[in-house]
Amino acid sequence: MTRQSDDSADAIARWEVQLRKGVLEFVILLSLAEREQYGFELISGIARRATLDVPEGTLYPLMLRLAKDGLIAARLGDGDGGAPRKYYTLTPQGRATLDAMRPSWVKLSTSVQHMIDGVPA
Amino acid sequence: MTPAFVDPAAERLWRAYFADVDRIIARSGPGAEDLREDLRDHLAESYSSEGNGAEVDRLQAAINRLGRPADYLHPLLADELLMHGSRTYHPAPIARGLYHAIRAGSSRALAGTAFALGYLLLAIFTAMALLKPIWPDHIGLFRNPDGTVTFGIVAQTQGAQELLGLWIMPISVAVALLLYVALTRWLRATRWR
Repeated sequence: MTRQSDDSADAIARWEVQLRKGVLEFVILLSLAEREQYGFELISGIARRATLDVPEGTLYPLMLRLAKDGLIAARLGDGDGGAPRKYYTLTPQGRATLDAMRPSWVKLSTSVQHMIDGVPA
Repeated sequence: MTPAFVDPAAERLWRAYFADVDRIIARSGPGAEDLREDLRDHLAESYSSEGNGAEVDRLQAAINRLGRPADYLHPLLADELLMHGSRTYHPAPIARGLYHAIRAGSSRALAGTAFALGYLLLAIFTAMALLKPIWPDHIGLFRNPDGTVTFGIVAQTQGAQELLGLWIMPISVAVALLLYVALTRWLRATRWR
């Protein structure tokens, strides 16, 4: 019995990890759509607001990939203590991608919610 | 940006963390330096935001939030190197990418191992072509005295009849090339993310 519940908890934990990873790029683009942000601000904000519970380091490789794909751009700006900070912003291509992602997300989340609520198709 | 630590234990912890980062991202190509700088800036900011307390505790808390480099860097490097290698058909990034994919765990490890076995098979065909002139009696397609057929690098060939002779060399090269193109195209088509 204990083993079964442990297996079940493991399966749920693995599923949650995959689920979070799947939405991370979307969440990064959503956050940057609000305003330009520097790395720590963006990532700690995402971790706090989206309660994604993933290592913050996971997000940097994703941002590097988004920058390579031309969806976000970085520039060096002034930091609080004088040291320069890297600020990230959404590119026009990133904004267009985000606009295309939003309806997909709404459609998916609505249909899953309907299934949870038992609403007939 | 590196914080000015007073506590040598905090300084050691910082250095150990980035030694780990450097070890994993060494030779990972352009972007590695950017990533290292991003992580340094992030950890420094995160450490500063920890407020009061012992330096080493504040740094450890910031590191706990950032995560172990192996956990988040292997998947990144697997993606980058395999994408680059499969586009350029360059074996070095493919080999390094497969190493990182296997180290990344879960489904990546499974796919990485499968591809690594495929490339190992390719290496065996290449070795057969190269070694045939050196060990002509042990490499090829052999019909054994009991009627069974053996193919490859064979230790015992006494009494066996070789069927292909030196044709084994161009055949092995052709199979290796076909495997390389097929595996690399398949690798490119595989979604690693």
